[in-house]
Amino acid sequence: MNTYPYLLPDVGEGLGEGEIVAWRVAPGDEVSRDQIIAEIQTDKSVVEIPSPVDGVLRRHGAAEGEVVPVGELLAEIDTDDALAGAGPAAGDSEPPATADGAAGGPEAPASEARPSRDGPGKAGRAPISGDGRVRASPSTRKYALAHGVDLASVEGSGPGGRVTLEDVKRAEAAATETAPEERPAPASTAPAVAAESSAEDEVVAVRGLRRQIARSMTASASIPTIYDWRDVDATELLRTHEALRANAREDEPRLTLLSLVVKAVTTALGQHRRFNATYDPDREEIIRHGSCNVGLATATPEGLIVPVLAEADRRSIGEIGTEIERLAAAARDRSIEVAETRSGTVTVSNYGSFGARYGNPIIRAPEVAIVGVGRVYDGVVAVDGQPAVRPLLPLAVGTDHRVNDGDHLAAFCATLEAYLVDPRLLLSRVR
Amino acid sequence: MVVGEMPESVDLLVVGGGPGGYTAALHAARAGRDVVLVDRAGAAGLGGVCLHHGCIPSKALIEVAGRVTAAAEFEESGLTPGSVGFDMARFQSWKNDTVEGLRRGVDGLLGRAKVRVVAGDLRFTRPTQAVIETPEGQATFLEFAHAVVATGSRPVDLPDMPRDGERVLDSADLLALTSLPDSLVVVGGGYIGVELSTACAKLGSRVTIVEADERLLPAMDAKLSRPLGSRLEALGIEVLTDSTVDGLDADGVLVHTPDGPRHVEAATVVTAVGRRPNTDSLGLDTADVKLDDAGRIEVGDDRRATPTIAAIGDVTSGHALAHKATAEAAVAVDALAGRPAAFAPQGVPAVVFGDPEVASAGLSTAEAGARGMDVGSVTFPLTASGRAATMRAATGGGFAELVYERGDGGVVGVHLVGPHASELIGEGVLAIEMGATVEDVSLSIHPHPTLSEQLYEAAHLGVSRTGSHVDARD
Repeated sequence: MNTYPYLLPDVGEGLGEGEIVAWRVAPGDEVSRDQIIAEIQTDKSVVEIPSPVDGVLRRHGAAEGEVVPVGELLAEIDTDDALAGAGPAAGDSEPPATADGAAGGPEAPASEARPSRDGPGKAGRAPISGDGRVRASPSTRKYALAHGVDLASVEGSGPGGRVTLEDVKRAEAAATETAPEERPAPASTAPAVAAESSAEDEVVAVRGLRRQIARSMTASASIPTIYDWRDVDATELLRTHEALRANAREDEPRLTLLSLVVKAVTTALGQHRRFNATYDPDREEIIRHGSCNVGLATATPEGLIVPVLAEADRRSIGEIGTEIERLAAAARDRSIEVAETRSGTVTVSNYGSFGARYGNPIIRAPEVAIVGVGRVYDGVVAVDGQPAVRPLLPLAVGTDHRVNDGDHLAAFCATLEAYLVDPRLLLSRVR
Repeated sequence: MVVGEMPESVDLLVVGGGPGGYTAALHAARAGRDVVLVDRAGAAGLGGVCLHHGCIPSKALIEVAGRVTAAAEFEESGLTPGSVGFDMARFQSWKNDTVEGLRRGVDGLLGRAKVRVVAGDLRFTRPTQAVIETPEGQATFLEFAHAVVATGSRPVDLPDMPRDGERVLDSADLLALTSLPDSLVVVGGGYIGVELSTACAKLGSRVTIVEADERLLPAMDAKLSRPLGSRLEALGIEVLTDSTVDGLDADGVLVHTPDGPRHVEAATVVTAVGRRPNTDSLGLDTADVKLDDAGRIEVGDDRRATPTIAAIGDVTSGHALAHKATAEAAVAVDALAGRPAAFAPQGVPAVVFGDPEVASAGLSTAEAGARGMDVGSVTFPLTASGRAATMRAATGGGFAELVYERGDGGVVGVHLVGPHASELIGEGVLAIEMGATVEDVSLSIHPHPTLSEQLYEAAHLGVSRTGSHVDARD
């Protein structure tokens, strides 16, 4: 019987880490190969992690709610399987099928002792490697733990190679310089929050989906965005919507106004391809995408999820409606596949469904445009020189000014408005 | 109890008022948490087994017992010994005053820190909820943000000879007696059995120790227990190793020895065969807390068993010692608050208050070898200590041993046998934790003539044997 250190695999989505949502198998329980042992929260979905071996789960590498980087210990499994003797597998979605596959891997079983820079998630681990000792005073060890510095990786300048507090601080500064995104933010901020909060305050750890949203929106904050706001006369749009709905078969899902709006957006994008694009500032390249994958901002109890309606430009209004319904349901019950939240080329945010009229939606990097849709309201407009009450659809369209200018934006919005004002025009573009 | 009663909201709940529990409560309160401490005996139980039935009462008895024999041991040094009597009832009165004074000290600390102390039996009902049954039979529900379980341990009964509080006692019963038993069988030759046997023998009891293992203090390195064995013999204590107790009869116990069955006369039997964690009546399964086969709570390095519940002290694995619980307390409280924390000592000291005292911290050579470390060890015998000679302690088999890594001379273990070893081991712990080398210890001047020189001398022996590691590196 060997102990197989099961390192968190990259589940094929290119994720860097996963938060343990739930353990399905407790220490001491038997597991069989391919049995689901844990649920891991990735970017926006929950992935089930199967056991690579038959055996008995010895211990969890991290508790529920903790974050495990890919390649770090997920669990230890006592097993007789030949695979276990060859060393841990990491970086593959599947554990290596043969012993050879694993033997060459760089990961030694030392992973257990490697402390993380990911904050309280794995703060429980001592910064002292397994059998060896790192010579450092207890206060220095405590500092290193609190600041996510792996003592085993710090060269000691003290007598006998002892790691001094200065050594740890130097290592910490060096890590911050070379890898700012890897800074142990949760570790350094958590104590401050806890210390400053009073008894009435509630401290809520930013984890899981909320954490993903926070990161994604922080990335988006650097986009210089210009907006076009306009109210579109929705008289014909509503009429068309009603007619389509009356014509629908009973077994079809209820057609929503959003499906029509998405059709209008994809059709307009077909004429303004510079908006159906992604921007890579590092390579200074814009990719204008061949198909139109529309992200649909979807509110769920845990937070915003944006499932992506792939190739929306190649679908009928009915198909769009059916697909939106399916994706929204999957997002809400968190069964959505990671792949279905990736590769968006543009996003539609229907904040009108919450009663909001005007918003300024945030572009999801690396996309370059977003269309915000408010709630239709009765407004007074001039018709043939006379005031008239008309249903108005508030639109807010934002674009990345590094990619598109104001005239581009106005032109795109004019096209979009034309399709919404007179949806019959969409017919000319239907394939 | 009203079903569906609104639970009282508690920020941090501490279960158990022993050294782990009250330290956790104080640490949390100082960090701004609102703390409720529940102990079965309420404020009267503060200090736990350690203060009321363990560490403190036993040291009081050991101290008194040591004074009884001290004069006789110095007869050759010119003392004319007289008769010294022992009044165990007066001892109890003094000991109880001492305990009560210390308990009040803890109570005062908790009061000033605004920790609320509640009496009652607590049982978890959910991962964030528990119910307390008060001594008056009231049930109160608590909804807590975080909880620290520090309910300690209790002595294990012998299956065939359960404690009856009359003839079969546990260690707590013995320490509460108002008259010393004339004859005593102590079952279990671990540290508790050795300490109590030594004290009772010095006070005048006829003592027999029955140990199932082949030697006393089986949990410790053999060379540490050897000097104790000869001293117990000199005190008139009979030690039966590889032996088990078979049953009680009218005037003693039947013992299975390697030489066959034996009858040992004894008025009283004391069982000291180990301790069991107090985890069975806490409803821990309802709180998703996992126990190991020995009933101990499974915790991570940060002492958390679940995101909301941590456990410290005897209810977790490791030494069942008060100072381990105390050190874990801050780790548990910090971890629950979301701060990075780990219980990662390089050496937890263990002490036997026998005669001589035995104290140990860090790794033995065998333990270090098992971990694949390349270590050396150097031993300084007390026969060469001037101070030990003046204390008539040079010939008791005592010594100081330093275990160090050969690579850089770092001290990884310190082991002491001799007078005041319990006091001296703190320096060993400091050396280990600070990553001191043998040479560091040899360059730190120790006062002469003292027992503390034994570490200094051992370190000098080490340096003379291995040279200066600092020079070797440069």
